[in-house]
Amino acid sequence: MTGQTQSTPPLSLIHRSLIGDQEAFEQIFHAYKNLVYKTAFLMLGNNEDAEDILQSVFIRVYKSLDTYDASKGAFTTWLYRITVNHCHNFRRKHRFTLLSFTRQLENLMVSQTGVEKQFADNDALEHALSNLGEKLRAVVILRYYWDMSYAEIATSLDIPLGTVKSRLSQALIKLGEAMDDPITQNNKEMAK
Amino acid sequence: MIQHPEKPDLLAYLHAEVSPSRKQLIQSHVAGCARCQTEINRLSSLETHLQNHLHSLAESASPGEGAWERIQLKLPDIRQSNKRLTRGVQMRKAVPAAFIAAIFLAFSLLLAVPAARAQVEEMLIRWFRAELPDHSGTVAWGGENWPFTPYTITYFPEGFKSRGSTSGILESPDNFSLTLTFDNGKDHFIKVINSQGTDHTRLPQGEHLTIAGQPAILVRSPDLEPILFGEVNDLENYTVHETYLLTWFMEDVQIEIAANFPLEEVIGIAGSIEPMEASDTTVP
Repeated sequence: MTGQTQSTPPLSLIHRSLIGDQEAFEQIFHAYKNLVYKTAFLMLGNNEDAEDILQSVFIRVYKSLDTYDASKGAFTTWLYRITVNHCHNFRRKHRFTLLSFTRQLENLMVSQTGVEKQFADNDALEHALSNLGEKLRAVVILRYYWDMSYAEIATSLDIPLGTVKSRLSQALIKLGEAMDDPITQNNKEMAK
Repeated sequence: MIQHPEKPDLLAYLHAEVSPSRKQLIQSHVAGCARCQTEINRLSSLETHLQNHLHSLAESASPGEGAWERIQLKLPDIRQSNKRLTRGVQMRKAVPAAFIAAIFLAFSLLLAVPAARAQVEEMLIRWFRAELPDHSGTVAWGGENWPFTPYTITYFPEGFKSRGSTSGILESPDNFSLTLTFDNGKDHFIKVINSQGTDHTRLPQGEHLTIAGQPAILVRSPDLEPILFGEVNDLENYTVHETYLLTWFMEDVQIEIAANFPLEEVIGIAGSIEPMEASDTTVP
């Protein structure tokens, strides 16, 4: 498991935050900022957007802390859900920026046809990851970065267990295809 | 005939996420099946690579200096009323006239009282309405301080209906977006997305055409995740092959229509766009 963060902060911190104690909320922020930041970074691919998500998530947490029910699940589960949802909304707002980036990358690849372009495995994987849909990327990050079980992922994303299973499988199929792509293979051979 | 486990099952087996009985079955099969053993090895190798890659990517990713201070600046205002909520309401049938009259009367009485008037004026929202293309009812939508008149389609294919998932989003203080959704209850959809603001001033890259006399852009097989994402798992409900995204501007309102029909049909649907009827009263 990555990190040593408690799954739920002490209830006293939550109670103090609810009555406006910002020092208490600051403790919650520092305890869970990396969970939010790293998830957002992996979902969106850059620090600037991750900072935006960090801010919007914790402002949302502060506003709706009274809706968190510890009896229904860990605080981290609630936080993952808010973070992933904010990332989805962020991508929706900035979808043309992201589409433009993808086209720029494609144009770059096309313009270099005939020039030997050496993609390492990591480049191919990174490109494939960036082309995964948001929903597949979310399960990949929760499983392969945060080591969550299928049940934990299902609860965090509020999806059925079967959907977790099928999305993970779809993601690995797509990533595997990208790694096995003839162009990638050819470039790896050229690099030897 | 040998029944090889499906990929999701092999993966779940690899993750120890199968029942004991299922695990035993898969284990027995894999022990005698070179193909499935190879697949498991391939999956395991890919997973290790993926894990290492993600950890490498995120290793140094952390919030910058001053992250808490930037959030703290915004906290004191938040617990006070949020006056920039947008609300969406959809009606499938016209509201009975008597009910409308009763609401008008109630608000008229309230407006006569200065203290109550102040509260009511806070509640006043801009309403818009349009008759559904199949004349089965009316779609109405209201939003506080909504800055523009949204557009909707006046034609859709037979068998379609409004889905009832209108949603207005305050994206930021300067950006607004409203989505109207229609589908046939099976596998075809139309999304009409109205947006205005600093993030919605340019056409994207794509093929050029004209819609409603305006220059427009066509994107074939667009990335549907941000378009169809919603509380309902849209992508699992719709057949997404042969999808198109048309984008153009009506005045300063960016209109996007996403649909999974043949292109000619999508262009026809887009061409039927008209502004909704505006009303500044408290009821549609």
